[in-house]
Amino acid sequence: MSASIGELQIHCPASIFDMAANQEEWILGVSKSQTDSDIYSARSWLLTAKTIFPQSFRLQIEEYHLELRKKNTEECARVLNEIYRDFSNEPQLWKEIELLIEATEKSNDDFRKEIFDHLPPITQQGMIIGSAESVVNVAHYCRLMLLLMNKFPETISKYGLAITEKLVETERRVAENNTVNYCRTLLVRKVLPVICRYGNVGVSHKHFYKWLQKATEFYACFFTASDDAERRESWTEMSKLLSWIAMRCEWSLDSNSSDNDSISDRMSFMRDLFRRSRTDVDGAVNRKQIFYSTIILLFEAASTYMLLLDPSIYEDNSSTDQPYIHICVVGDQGQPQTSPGMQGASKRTSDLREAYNVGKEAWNILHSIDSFEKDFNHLTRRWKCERWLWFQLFLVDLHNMDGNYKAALSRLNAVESKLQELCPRKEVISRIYCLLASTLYSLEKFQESCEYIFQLLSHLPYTYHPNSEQVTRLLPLGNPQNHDLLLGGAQPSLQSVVLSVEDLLPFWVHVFISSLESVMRSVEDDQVLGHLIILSQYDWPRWKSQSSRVLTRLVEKRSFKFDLFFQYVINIDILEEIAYIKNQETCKLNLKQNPTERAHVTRGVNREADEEFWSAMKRNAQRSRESAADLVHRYLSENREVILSCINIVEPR
Amino acid sequence: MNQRKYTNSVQELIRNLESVFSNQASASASYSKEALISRIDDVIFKQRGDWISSQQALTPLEELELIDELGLYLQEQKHEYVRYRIFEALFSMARETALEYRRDILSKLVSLAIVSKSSATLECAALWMKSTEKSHVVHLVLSLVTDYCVLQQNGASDLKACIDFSPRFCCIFLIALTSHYTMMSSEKCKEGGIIVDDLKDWPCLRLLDIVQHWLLKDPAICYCTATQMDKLWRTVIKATHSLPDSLSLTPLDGLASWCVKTPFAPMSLLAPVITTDECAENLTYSELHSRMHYGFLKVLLASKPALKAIAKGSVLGNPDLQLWSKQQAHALVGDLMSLCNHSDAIPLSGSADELAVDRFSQISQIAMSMRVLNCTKDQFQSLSDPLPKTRLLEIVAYGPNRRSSIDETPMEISTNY
Repeated sequence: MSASIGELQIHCPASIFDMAANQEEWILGVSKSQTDSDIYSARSWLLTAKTIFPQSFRLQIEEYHLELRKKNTEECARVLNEIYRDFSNEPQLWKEIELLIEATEKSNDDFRKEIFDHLPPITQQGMIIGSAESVVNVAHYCRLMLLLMNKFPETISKYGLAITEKLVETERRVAENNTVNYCRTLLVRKVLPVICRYGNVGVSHKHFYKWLQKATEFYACFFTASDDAERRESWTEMSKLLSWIAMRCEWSLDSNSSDNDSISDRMSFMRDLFRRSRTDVDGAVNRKQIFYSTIILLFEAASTYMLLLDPSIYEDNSSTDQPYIHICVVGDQGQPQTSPGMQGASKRTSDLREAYNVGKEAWNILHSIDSFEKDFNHLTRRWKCERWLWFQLFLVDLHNMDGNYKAALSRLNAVESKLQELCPRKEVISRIYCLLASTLYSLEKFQESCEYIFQLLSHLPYTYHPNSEQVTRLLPLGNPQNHDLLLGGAQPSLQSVVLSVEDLLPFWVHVFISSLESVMRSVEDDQVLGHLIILSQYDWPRWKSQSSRVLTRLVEKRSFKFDLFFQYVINIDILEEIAYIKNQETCKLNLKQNPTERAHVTRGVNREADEEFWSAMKRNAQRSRESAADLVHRYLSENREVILSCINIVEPR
Repeated sequence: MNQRKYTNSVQELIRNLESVFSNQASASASYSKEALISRIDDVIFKQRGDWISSQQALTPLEELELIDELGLYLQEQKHEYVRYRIFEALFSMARETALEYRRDILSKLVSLAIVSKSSATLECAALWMKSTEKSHVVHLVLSLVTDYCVLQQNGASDLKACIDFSPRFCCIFLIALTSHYTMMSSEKCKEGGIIVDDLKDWPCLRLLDIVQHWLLKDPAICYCTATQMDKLWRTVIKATHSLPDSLSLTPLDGLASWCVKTPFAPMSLLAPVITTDECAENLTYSELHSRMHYGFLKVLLASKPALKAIAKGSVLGNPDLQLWSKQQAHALVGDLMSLCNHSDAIPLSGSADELAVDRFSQISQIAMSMRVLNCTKDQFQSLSDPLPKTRLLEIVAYGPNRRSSIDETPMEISTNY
């Protein structure tokens, strides 16, 4: 039975909405059913429905999806813009907006990227900001705001500062111990470049100084302690950031500067500026500029210097460049010895020299004015630079170069005390021990120096070449083409040497020999003499005179007991001398050729002993072509306690 | 020799006209309109002696030169008023002399202007079309349709391109087209001994393509006569508004008719396909008018600026001007009734009736929501009452709150309210 219109109008409100919903649903259904057969008809139905149900989000989003399926990006943008205007609270809308923004960021969806590009700029901005505000994760938030600021530089002045503060605040809250954390990385590498370069953030210079501090600390750590492959760009990025901040703070600009400025170019500009600042009365030169620029130069120079010395110092590296170290050795007669130095690597050499000089000059500038020194110390305390091993090692070299061994030693001791806490790489530990050995030697603390050499012998690898006579020969300083003095420091006795046992052994032998000789001067001990003989075989006939002196002493003493003799003496000249002494009976020799003890020494046994002696001599003579280096290395490795106790005989000074 | 003489005399006369119309303010009495017209007919159209003669007096070459000269002149003359006065002086249909002949020349001139993208000529033609009696306008339009949709293979794209340099011409062209092709006749006729559909009331495939292209590309095109109403147009239209049979201001009514009636297109129009410029697919008549309908809905949605201009009074000074009046809607319902199959109160699903009524509903809904059609709910209900009820019509007429009568057993459409 049909109902009249009058009755139909009396309905409870709830079902009126149902009816409307049904009708909307029906129209939508008709439209959808035609999407494949007649898209224009489908569109017409949707358009009509939108005017009947203007409050319906569903219809609008359907229209959007229809156009999206048809890949009609301009229409999509138009529709989406309307939806954004009229239905800004719908979650489904924001889900779609997220997809659009992601497509724009990552270029993973060309259509959606195009749609976003077609939206009016105001809408794009509103969408990015709206999306960002609902995001909890700071990194995500920053990424979105960076997208906003990169696309629309005019928004930088409004949002730039807030983002930096949020990142700083989050970093503090999360309380990471590592400077290279995600907050700082975002701040320094992504956010600051955008706002310092493009934006007028309207902040005081104090903010820029704070940002410079954050960035400097960051890049120093990033360059030296991170796995990221991009760490190589650290100082370039720092340089750029500095230049933009310099513009904002209206610092003096170097009119000759270019993108290819070397570190010394920049240093020379700083040097000029510094010089001018000393007589500057009316504040034309900005001291802050000098302060911050110099610190950056210092860290860049120091970290680069260490990297040039050892390409593997910050990370495992398949570089074929060998690591170098600067150690001090003085030869006998005060003649400095040189190692062949860095072979054929003149660029590396000149770069190293450049880095050193710049670092040194920067350090000096920072310590030439009280306020600089105070502020710099404040920063290094805050940044805990005592944990930056590369920096401490650079300073050690600096001190050593200046002959300031005490300062070098105290720094090295401080570093050593932190080794357990910091757990640096093996290469770094070796370097530290090596420097300790060298510096202690310069201070004539022979015993401690030798102890460190023993540490190194157990740390560093050594390959035995039993049939080789190869040994790294030391050459006198006077030979010009072999002179590869790396750095013109106050101490010409500071040399660059490859950080390997093979190359350091000559110097260590020297140390041991010097130590033993100094003991020998005040004490008469066969062990000392015996050790000297063994050591003197190295790089024969370099230490020949030492061995001659010992042999003379033997004869004077008329007795000599040393049970390590036949284990380690193979040098033919020495053996001949001993044989001569034996024959001449100028000295009673007890060289303990075999381990078994003879309880009694009888005449018959003496002859036996003699026979054993000569056969041992013959045996050793046959070994005379063995590598002396191998021998000495083995000897040192196996007799640490015995040797040390010899050196300790004399009271340490 | 003769040609040069002709060209020179044309140029001279045009210069004369120019000086007359330029100085009109100061020299209103110094020329005689009749004398001027006489000279025009004599020199330009070479009509001699018999005033009503329509015989061709110019050689084809002279015709070509005339058209060329005129085209060039119109394009160069920057003063719109002077330009139009000269145009009108030559081609006004208000005087009888050499009527048809002048009309032919005009057709050729406009035809050339389309392909040479001469916006100045087309603007003059548009205003001429708006202020001239419909039969002459239709004549011009049909000759252009012949030139561009029938004779040439790719002529349609030239015509389509007019939207880029003379939207007003396109608008007037649409008005003329929609007023001529009424889509009402379903007669048959004999052609070569075979009974075929009489297609004289129906635009051809290519023409439909042009229309849908224009509407989709720029919906606002339908309002440019209203929104770009300048002093010249206002003056001319006001002067001719008493003309009994001139074109309306916008094509809205005509296009609404087309959208609603095209579902009833004769079978012989439905099979052929054409390839449009915009897409590689082949489109049928149905697909084209579906696009046109969607385009028209977008036209309705783009009506705000025109409504604003009307309300401000800047369109012919009449703030009550209706873009689509109730009377026009009523007339359309009447047409639709005569086209529909009356045996079903509710149209069969998929039938032409259903499509037509649904389209009417869609157009009305959007027109009412945009205030293009100023109609209360009650008024619309009574207006649409005679029509067969589709569910969509019910929703549009009675609003979303009214349960659709389709759901219930079919009821008599009540006529007593």
